Amino acid sequence: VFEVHGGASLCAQEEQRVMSLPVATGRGLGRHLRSQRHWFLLVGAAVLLAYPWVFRAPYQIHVAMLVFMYAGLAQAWNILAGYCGQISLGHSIFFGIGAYTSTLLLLEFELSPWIGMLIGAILAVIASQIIGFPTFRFHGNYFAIATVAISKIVQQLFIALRIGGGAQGTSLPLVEPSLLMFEFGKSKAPYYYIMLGIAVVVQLSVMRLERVPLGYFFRATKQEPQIAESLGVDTKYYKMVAIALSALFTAVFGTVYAQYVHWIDPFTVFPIELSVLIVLVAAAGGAGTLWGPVVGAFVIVPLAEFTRLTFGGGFTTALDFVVYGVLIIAIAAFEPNGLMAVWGRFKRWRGW
Amino acid sequence: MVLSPQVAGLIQVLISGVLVGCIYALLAVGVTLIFGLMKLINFAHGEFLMLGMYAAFWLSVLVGLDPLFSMPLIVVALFVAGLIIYRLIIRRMLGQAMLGQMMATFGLSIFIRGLAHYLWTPQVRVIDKPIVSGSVGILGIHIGLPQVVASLGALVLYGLLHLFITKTDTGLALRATAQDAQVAKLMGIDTDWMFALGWGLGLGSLGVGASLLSNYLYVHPTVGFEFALIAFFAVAIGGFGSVRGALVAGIAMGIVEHLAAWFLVPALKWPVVFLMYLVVISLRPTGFFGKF
Repeated sequence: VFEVHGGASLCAQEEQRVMSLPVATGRGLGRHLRSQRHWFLLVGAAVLLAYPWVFRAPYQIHVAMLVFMYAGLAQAWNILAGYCGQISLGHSIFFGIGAYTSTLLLLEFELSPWIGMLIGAILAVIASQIIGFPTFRFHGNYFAIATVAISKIVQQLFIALRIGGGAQGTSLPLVEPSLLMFEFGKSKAPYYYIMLGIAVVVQLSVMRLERVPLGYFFRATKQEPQIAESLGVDTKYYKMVAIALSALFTAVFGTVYAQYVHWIDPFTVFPIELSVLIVLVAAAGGAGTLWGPVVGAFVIVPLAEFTRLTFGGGFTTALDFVVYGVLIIAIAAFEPNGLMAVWGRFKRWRGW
Repeated sequence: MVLSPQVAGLIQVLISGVLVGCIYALLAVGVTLIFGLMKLINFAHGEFLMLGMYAAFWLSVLVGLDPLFSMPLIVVALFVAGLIIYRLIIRRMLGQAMLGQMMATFGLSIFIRGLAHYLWTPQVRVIDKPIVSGSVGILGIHIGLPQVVASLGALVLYGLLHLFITKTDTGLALRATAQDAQVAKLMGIDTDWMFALGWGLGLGSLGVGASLLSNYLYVHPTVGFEFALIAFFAVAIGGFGSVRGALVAGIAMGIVEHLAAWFLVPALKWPVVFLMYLVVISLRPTGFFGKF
């Protein structure tokens, strides 16, 4: 019995290796697994598309949107930190740039937020290059603290220079609902589908990234920077590409968020807490894995909402944070590499 | 003798800067000790400061013990808390990926802040009439007494830590563990105990800061957050793992902060301090005294 299991697991490893090549050759077990995967994806897509029609309460849709937003944000962060090895604690910078750019353009020039989203993404990419150029000399904790410093500078500058209302923030104008102006009034479903759509685009991009040479260079930059350099890989260049992609997706979510909540200020779009939550979601799921950030978002966000509902939130009782904190510690203590590692163990145990 | 307003202002700014800088250094020493030993940033550092400040507040309100006298109790309590946290959580995280360690200490900070919120509400509290209060004025320069006492406390703590680390056998073992834990273990040093001691000292040192700060600062669940950020930057500027680096960097940050607030507008003081940090690490990526 053990021999059969051992053989099967060897075979599965072989199949995984074959499937992770750019051109996968489907045969035998691999084809079987992938046909199952298609079914899984189809059912998943149907559930996600039908969700707002089944669960109509605003709160239920709201939580689902938060899940998609954090899945996308964590995945964007994952491009830089998980694949390229630079752990950023300043991703709220890009989120805030996205939110502020589209909002200010809408307020000043009545420009459609869709165009604002594009401009915000471009500005975030430019900002990412300015941030990356000096800070990619640092590794590990040094880089993480540097990104905290920059995000604090940006937040304080927005307050000190009174950009977009300074510390008081600004509310977005309520225009006639239309797709063109990214405004849907009271109905939440359109925001839901937009958030879902963008999160899916981010996820598909990273799926593609895993299979193209760029992704291999990213992982080489993370795992063996010196060997990669000695083989002629310009690791700094790949880090710059990674932070650009990461910033672009993060800024897009910033715009969607601003359009959805109709209110932004430096404390809600630039805070360190946001950057930390992105890191927690990705790390709890499993940084550097394709599905880790998604798993993390589907676990952490509902968990936070569930503990808030069960143990009371708000300002009087904060028992929800106590429970939430303990669960984060538990994940870190029992599986420091995230929940995807638990799945990996399960697969090994089953001999897949 | 009467000083001109400009000169008096500058001296005032410099003195205030040094005084607050000593506090920053006092709060940073725990971060740098723990990092030096096990290459791990304790993101829950500020929350332990907050717990210490609440301890000082409640001892003052319920028992009538002035923060100055409750300090030893708080130091011992936080020292023991450090040992327990190390045993329960941190020991599992040694040698794990940096993200796992981050997650653990972030989780810890969320947990402690939530607990404080739950137990004591976000209400802002202040100790009524501590022994050390008021201010002195010389030549038109005003200095708050609690600030002076807190800075002196910081310097005394640094002196004691320096003596402990350089003159005692345990201090030598600590330094050996910080340099190379595996070799230290081979030499017969109980590195596990050294790590635990590092956590005890790291959090215990916060007890001094907590009781001295509670003399003149409001106590609330998020009081530690900003201070912890400042402590991280002081450690990054001084060099991760360097104790004297944290002292020099803390004081430098205090001076720069006050100069920026004086010459520019107060709202820009933190951007200037963080900019200083970026300039320093661009010139010396490991900070003043850090080693990679």
